[in-house]
Amino acid sequence: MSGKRIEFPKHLQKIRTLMPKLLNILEIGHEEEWYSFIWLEELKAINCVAAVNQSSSESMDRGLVLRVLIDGQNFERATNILSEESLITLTRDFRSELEMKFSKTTSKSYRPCSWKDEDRSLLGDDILDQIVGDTTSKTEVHFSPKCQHNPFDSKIEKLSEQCNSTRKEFLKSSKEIVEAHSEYKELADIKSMIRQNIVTHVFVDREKNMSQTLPITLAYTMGMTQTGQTARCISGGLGGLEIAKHSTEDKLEVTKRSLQLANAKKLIPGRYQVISGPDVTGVIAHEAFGHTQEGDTWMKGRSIAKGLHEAKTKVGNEQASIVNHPNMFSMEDFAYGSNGSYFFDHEGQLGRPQQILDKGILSTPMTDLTSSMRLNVPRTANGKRESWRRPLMTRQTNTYFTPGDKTVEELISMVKDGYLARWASGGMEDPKGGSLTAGTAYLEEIKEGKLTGEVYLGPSGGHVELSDPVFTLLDRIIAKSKSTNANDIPENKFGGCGKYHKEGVPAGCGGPYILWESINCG
Amino acid sequence: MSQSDQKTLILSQDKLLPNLRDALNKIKSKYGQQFYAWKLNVLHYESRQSLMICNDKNTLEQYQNRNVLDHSYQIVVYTNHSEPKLMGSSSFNIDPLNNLEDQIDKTYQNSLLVGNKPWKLPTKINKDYEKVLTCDPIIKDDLNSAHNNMISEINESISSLDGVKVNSLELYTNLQTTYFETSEGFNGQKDNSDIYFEMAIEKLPLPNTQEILKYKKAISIEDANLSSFIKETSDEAMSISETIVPKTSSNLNIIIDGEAISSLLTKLTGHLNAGREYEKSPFMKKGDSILSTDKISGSDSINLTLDPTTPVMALSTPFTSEGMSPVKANVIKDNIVTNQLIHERIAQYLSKEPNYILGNIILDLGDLSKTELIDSVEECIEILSFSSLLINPNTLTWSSEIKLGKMFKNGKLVSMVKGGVISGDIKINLTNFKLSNQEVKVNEIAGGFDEAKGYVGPSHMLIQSGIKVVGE
Repeated sequence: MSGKRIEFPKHLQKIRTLMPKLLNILEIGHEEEWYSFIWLEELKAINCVAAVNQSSSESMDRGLVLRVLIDGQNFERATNILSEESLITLTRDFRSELEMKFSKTTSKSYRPCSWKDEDRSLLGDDILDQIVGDTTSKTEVHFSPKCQHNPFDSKIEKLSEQCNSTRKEFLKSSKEIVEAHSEYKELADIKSMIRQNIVTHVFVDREKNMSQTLPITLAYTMGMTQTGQTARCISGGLGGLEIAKHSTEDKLEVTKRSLQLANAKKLIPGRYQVISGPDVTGVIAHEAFGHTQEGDTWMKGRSIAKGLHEAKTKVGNEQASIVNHPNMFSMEDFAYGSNGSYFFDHEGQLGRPQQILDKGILSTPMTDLTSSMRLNVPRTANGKRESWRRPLMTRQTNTYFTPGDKTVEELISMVKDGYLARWASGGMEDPKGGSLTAGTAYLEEIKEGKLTGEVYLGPSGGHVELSDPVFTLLDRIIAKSKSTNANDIPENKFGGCGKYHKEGVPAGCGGPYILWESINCG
Repeated sequence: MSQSDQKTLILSQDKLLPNLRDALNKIKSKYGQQFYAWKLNVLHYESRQSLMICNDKNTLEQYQNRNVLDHSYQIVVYTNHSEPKLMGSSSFNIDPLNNLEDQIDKTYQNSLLVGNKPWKLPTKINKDYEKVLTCDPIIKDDLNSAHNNMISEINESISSLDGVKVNSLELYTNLQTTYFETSEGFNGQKDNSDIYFEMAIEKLPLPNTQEILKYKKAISIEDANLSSFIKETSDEAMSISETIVPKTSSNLNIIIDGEAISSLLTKLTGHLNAGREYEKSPFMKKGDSILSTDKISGSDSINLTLDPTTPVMALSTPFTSEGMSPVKANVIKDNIVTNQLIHERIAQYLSKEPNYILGNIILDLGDLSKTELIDSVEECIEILSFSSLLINPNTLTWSSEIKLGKMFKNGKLVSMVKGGVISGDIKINLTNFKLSNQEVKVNEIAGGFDEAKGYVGPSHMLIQSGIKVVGE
């Protein structure tokens, strides 16, 4: 992407300067037995909604975490009371408490990786370009993506103007469609929202002092019929306001599609040939061997994948390849990454891509520090937390199926009688039992290699669930669409993950259009 | 503010408040009538979080221990602006280390960008706030001890289990105090406690491909009753046998538990919110039937009350978000809506009388035990857990994969069920159902992907209408 990288926010410099001092207070003299780091996060959010009821909000949330790892146990103190005096007191008290608890330790401390020892081969230009000169443990290294509009200059006026104008334009368009088609009734409302989160992280341990600013910008517009059927479009990812723009196709989705859905047929439950679009493909990747390949799930004995990896069991066909890609800063024909991208994880591990499923064979899992140590497997940049208020776990970043060699038109032409599923609607997995379900808002009918224009809702009039045992599903990939991206990275959609049902974090997921031999749809 | 001050916390005496109040009034004076009103909220939240795994002998090991302290401030600024008159409102999370007036001024400017139909903020309370128990006194008294005692209880219970392997556990004990104040003279404080416990367990011998993952959410330690919960979850894990995928069917009988009933009815009562009428979303008003077709003969009926005063429940509160005193009322009687939920702002928009009804769902019990419900039909599947029960709040349709269930024929358990996608439409499902005569409580604190839920009612519901399943 053209544009400038965002500088480290000056208002955080004072506390950043304090962080190495806090680290010293916390671990000096205990380096042989303890490993500590200090984590600061700031979330600046602006939000605007244009709808029957308009709203706007602005917020700043800032919190700091003190982490100590002793004898395999992690202890944390987290607070948003950030005056120097109170932080020093908190740190001293925390150290005293741990000294009382661990007068003796049984194992040596974890040794963090220095800048000098980092393997730079998979870091990519976006990370390497920002590690300038001879970096030492005291060098303050800052990372950010390039943005055309500096997110710190974003004003709520601009957001308000943009979502009001989108709503007005889409409402006008939907009225024109209703006037031209007697079978449609006017929409109940169109709601347009823009949200920009600017997240800044600072990580300090005995080897590194680094920060990252991640602007996550989202435009979301939804049309709703008087009977409650909805269709939506989402634009955005890791970048400034310039990426929050809806296309003409998006406008048709919100206006014409929601009107169509009010009259949609109900699907007869059964097994059908299905093509999943990047949104639904991504949910399948995330659920199929995304959650199952999370290191903490392995560590707890809750994943079927550990045994399958050790036995080298094939769990899908030659087309079944899934990537975990934290440091993804461009995809398909977009010059920006998804909202799941970052430069380093919440434990200071630099991002590198990892193939978690290669032609049906499982790799070692994605890990955070704890699971990597306990499982004795390589560490990856997947330690994340919802916010400073919540615990850190192994989480997905961007999870996607690798592309294939067909065009979307070729895939559609291969379907005699089936459906296209483009818009995801939730998903869930069972990492122990190896089943998954991925929702899609509706299905588009394909007959004799062509889209008929008919749309179908679920058997009860809601969304459609696509569900199968994971192995069965991954063995039924017939073909995948190709990518135009120079690095073969397909589109990843703006998304989030709740690790079963809580701990919400940004998580991009995507992939090509995939033709599946059959999936249970209901 | 330190982590040990919680017992005596009076947020109206927060040190920042006089400055914040002064700054709000100063900016209000600066802009005159256009700055209509303000509201401020102070939140003090403490949490103890323990993540645990177990070894092969079911001995607990904590691998993550966290203490969290969150003390924060939020303001809302209301403006009257433009011609014809519009009303704006905007909220802002105050940074106590930055200039307060600048932040309030910015919120005022943001509020001017919002143009909603004007309404008058209430200046008089409808009735005095009732004293409502929203917090477990044991947790309020000493959060650390409460949390540590529960860890001991868990440890003891786990070590006595036989035939199962506990894989992981999580325990969060949370205590939150909130205070609000408005320029119109309202103020109030409440304490809320909550407990989240999660347990993943499987039947021995290993390896196997079935696991039970269960959650317990409660407001009080007594209601959480972790020992019982651990025992019940272990019993459930022990009962797992070979599973089958259900057969595809358009008219399946299912039995769901209190948690699922609570989820369905929370979405249903959402349609009674008069805000939906104003927003032109699908809604139900007084006199409407909650059913989309006629009730089937022999079916039970829904009789539902909302109660904001039930002790230690998730939706119990002494005041509404508008600062009014919430009202308990029956909202559905014999499947007919008896009251919409009408709060101040929407009442003015729709020219209706506000009634301030909200609270926990209290649902009348049925006549049959769970066993009698199972015996009353030739065949049914008891859903032990849905993979992910997604309910569309607008269409009231729902669907999920079956994570684990039990299939009964003529009252006898014939197999465990796993897989297959099940779906329904609440307005059709409630045309033919029966409720159990045993009472349960369900509590869910808002957060993550879930809205808050409070439910006191039957432990099980047999649904005999409008259930579709795709499986074998």
